Amino acid sequence: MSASLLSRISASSLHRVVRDIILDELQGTRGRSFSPPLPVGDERVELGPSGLDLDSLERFSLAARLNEFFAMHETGLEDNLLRARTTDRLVDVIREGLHVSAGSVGFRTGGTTADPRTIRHGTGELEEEVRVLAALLHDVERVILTVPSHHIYGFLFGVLVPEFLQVPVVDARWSLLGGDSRPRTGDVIVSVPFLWEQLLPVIQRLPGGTGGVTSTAPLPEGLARRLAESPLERILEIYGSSETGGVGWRDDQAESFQLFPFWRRGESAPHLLERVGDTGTSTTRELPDRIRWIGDRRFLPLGRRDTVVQVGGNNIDLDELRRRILELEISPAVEDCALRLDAPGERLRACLVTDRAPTEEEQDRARHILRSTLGDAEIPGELTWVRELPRSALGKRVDWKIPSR
Amino acid sequence: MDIVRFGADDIENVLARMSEEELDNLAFGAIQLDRDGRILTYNAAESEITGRDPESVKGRNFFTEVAPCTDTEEFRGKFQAGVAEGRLNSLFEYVFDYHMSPTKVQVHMKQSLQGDTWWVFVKRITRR
Repeated sequence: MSASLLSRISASSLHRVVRDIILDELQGTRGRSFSPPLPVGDERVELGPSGLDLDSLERFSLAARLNEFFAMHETGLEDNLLRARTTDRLVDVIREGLHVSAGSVGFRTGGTTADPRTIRHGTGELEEEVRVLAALLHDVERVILTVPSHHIYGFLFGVLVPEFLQVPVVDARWSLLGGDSRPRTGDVIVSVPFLWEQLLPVIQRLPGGTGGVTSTAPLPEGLARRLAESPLERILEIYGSSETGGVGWRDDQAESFQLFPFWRRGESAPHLLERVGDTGTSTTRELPDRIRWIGDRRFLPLGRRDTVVQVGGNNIDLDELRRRILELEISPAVEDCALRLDAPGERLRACLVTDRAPTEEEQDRARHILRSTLGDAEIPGELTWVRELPRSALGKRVDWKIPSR
Repeated sequence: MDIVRFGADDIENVLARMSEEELDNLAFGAIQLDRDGRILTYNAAESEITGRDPESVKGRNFFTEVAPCTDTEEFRGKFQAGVAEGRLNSLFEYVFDYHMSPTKVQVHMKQSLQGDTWWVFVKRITRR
């Protein structure tokens, strides 16, 4: 068998992954708005005082994170990550490690949960998926990447698929398709709904023969329509999750999703899938959504399964409660709202989005309205007022911080 | 490419055949001490991770002058007992916290092939 795709990843792809992981790590320790001087290309950056100025703890966390991502501990070379003083040296160490062993990749789950988990995907399964995705994109000449490369979506479409197809990747994470990342015929733009919204004006001016890939969240109907009317010739929508990777695809929003060939519909519940291995063995995986099946190979996701929580013995559907809160006449007007339950036995927490900060009096009145219209178990124990819900780099909601008292 | 594994039981054989350059290519710290703990060799991995220049630590006492967080019964005690017995082969976990945030490490102490020097190998545990 030829060397695995993972062990052949180019230095420039690894530079991008390393940069995105550094950014994610530093935003974790120094705050989301922190933007370090990281280059778009393969240019090396010092990790020490003359560059990123990582302290010893940050250097250690970065090495641990890269070790976790590339399973470097399987090679015995992982401590070389601690010796690196520059980003290009980190890339060298990782390349050397991937040559020795490239068994799996560990992705952190999105920030929608309070405590992030790492989900490992075996090289064999990733490559099986890549072959199917590459067949869907076989005529692509260039990939324009607008999402980070260290999440499974960006890693598949921004690293492994281009590597398999031997096509270049244009890094457009910060350029909004301007300058060098201006799309041309033969390009496919890899993005997410939250970013498509921002890219719409640029997309109106695209040349013919360009396409898009979207994933990580459903395309809102209005956005899907505007994309369908745009010069983009095709929008390939991938349905998947951090736990499963890609599950199915469609390129017509009016259609259901087609299940990828390596999945089989589970038998005991609609949200279960079977991954069929080379040896005929299969493992069961769970989807985060409720699923409606149309025969055995097509399906429609119907929304998250985990929106129902229990408070004081009552089942509460957070999606439904959110819709009701948005209809209440609260001043200043609530434009959006996020709800969560942190632990069993606690009350719900609500984060309300308004275009200005409420006065003390308005806050009291809002609490009164909530108490007088919602059921006992539905009343949020704590309200946080914000201008905008915090989002991750993929446009997914992340948990808001509870204000200290 | 042959990778020398940390904690390998025959490591003193492998090291005895190694050039200084090969020693520097090890992916973990390797420090060679005399019976009193004076540093004879301090490889590149250890130097690059700790930020100490090998030349400036050679001849100094590892336990008291270079890494005082190892001057304990658990660390130095094991070394001295092994040296006294003429048989040192000890693998254990430890925490380094001298002038740094506490770092979990694995330590392997082993008598060298010649018998009159002793190796201390250190691997940082970055696996979460």
